[in-house]
Amino acid sequence: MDRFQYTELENTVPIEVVIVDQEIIKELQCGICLQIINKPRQCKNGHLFCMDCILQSLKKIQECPECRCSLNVEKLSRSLFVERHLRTLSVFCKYHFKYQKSVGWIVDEQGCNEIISLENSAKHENICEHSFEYCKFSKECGVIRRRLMDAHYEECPYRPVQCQHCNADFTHNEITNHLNECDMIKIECDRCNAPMIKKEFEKHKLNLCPNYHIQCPFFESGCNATFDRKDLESHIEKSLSHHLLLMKSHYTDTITNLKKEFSLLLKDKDDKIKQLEKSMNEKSDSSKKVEWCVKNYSILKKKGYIQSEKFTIGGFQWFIGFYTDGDSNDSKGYISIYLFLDTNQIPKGKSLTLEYYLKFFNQRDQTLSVKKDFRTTFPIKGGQGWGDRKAIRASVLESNGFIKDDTLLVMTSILIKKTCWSIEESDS
Amino acid sequence: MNSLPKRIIKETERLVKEPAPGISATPNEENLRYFNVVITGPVDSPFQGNVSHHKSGGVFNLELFLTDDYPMSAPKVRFLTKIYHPNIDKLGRICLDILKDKWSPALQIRTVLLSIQALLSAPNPDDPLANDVAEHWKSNEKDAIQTAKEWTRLYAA
Ligand SMILES: [Zn+2]
Ligand SMILES: [Zn+2]
Ligand SMILES: [Zn+2]
Ligand SMILES: [Zn+2]
Ligand SMILES: [Zn+2]
Ligand SMILES: [Zn+2]
Ligand SMILES: [Zn+2]
Repeated sequence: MDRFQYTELENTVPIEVVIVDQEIIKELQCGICLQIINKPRQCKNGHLFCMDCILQSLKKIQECPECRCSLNVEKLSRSLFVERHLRTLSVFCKYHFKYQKSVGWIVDEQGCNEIISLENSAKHENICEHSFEYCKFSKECGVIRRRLMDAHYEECPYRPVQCQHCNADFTHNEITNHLNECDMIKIECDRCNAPMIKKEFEKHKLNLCPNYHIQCPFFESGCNATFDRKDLESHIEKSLSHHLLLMKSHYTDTITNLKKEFSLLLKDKDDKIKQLEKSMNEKSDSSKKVEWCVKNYSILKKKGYIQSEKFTIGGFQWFIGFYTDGDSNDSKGYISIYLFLDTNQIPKGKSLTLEYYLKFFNQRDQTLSVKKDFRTTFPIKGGQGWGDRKAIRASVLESNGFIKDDTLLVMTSILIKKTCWSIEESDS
Repeated sequence: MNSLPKRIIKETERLVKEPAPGISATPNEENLRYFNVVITGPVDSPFQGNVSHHKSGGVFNLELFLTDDYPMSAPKVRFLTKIYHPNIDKLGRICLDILKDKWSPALQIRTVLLSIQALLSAPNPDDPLANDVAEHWKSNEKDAIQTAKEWTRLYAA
């Protein structure tokens, strides 16, 4: 009795439509839902309703909707007669009808004319020759009556076919296009009539066909002759000396050109190397700032001379030293400060030109710092350091904000401008 | 709104195709559960129209609404046209048992409207909704009927 649970879908034909004797519908209608009774149940006076409908009504009021006799679930009874009547109801196969928009279900002239009992209808409709199925090759074909399916498969545009040349699979509507493109098709050369498959034709034309026009293989050397491939040998034979002469001048030119190119290339490389060297030298012009923090100045100054630790710039070791009360009679009362290079470190013959400054940093007011600039070449003749004998008055240094917390700041920055080698003749 | 139950579709189709005499019910286009109803006053009742000395009259507009529970619950019906009747109040509410406790899902829109039409033929002042009208009816039926006729002429034209 699934037949009764139809939905609103258009492909489900309502039972009222398929019943052959339309008069009977009124007798088998449920008074509640006004449709053919599904699972009939009755009151003691024989009023019939669908089981679902009457159960729903009984939830509200315990009486028969027709005669108002007292009624509840227990009092409901089946009617075997009506059940059999429904089962054996004569109906048309649903493929007797077709759906037309805004009209509804109408008789399909091409449809099935079978009349069956309601209980057998689903079974019949499953195998009905008038039912519809999708084409197995493509949904594009839409639904097709089962009866006509074989005929459709014979001419379906999506039916599978195989290319007889390359054995690839296609649908029927693709094959015409493919045959234009298939490179396994057999053809004949248009010049020599040799049989081949299409895919080999290019190769044949370029390398094999005796009737295709070619250029003399010595065209690079200047022979402009063209001829059919089959005449190649006779051309070579007849033009042997001509070809040799052409080749000779061709290769002479080639070699000259190669030489030119080669020297250009070399020059180019040279320039590049020079550039690299230059940029390397520029990089080694590195300057470096050093800040020397002289702590406990009041104690250290009693020694008369204070020297920094060694520091490395440009691969050499430097240090700063200063005399707190001058280094000679005429510089008495002044600070004499020098930059020293550990001369032992300089290989013989090498000299360094540098720019540097020495600065006493004023910790109270930076702008009052005392900065001395120098440019000189190490090693220094007759000494190790270079600087200023009277850099600053000792009294100024000790009073005007240079010293804070008994600490003095001395700074330097060294820029190596040039490194030179002077080479002497070897003794041996 | 959920789709209309088959039963309502069937009832509507039949109401339109085979209307009961003196009754028309038209579903609202936007809400198929809402009906515009017109009932013609029955012959020989104070609500009759088209009587010779009246030019016209006796056309009563009602509204009818089917709840989601229909047909397990009665439709809601109300007079829109003013009417002088012991079982219909000022707001057009109708005192009719099948619209209340005597509703049955075996009843239909058609049967409800026929019952209302019958109520116009046979007012029942013993089961009133409009008490003053009922009193009038019981104490001086002739006069009450005259008022009803008057109202019909005034409002149900
Ligand atoms: Zn039912
Ligand atoms: Zn009953
Ligand atoms: Zn069939
Ligand atoms: Zn197909
Ligand atoms: Zn192919
Ligand atoms: Zn060829
Ligand atoms: Zn040649």
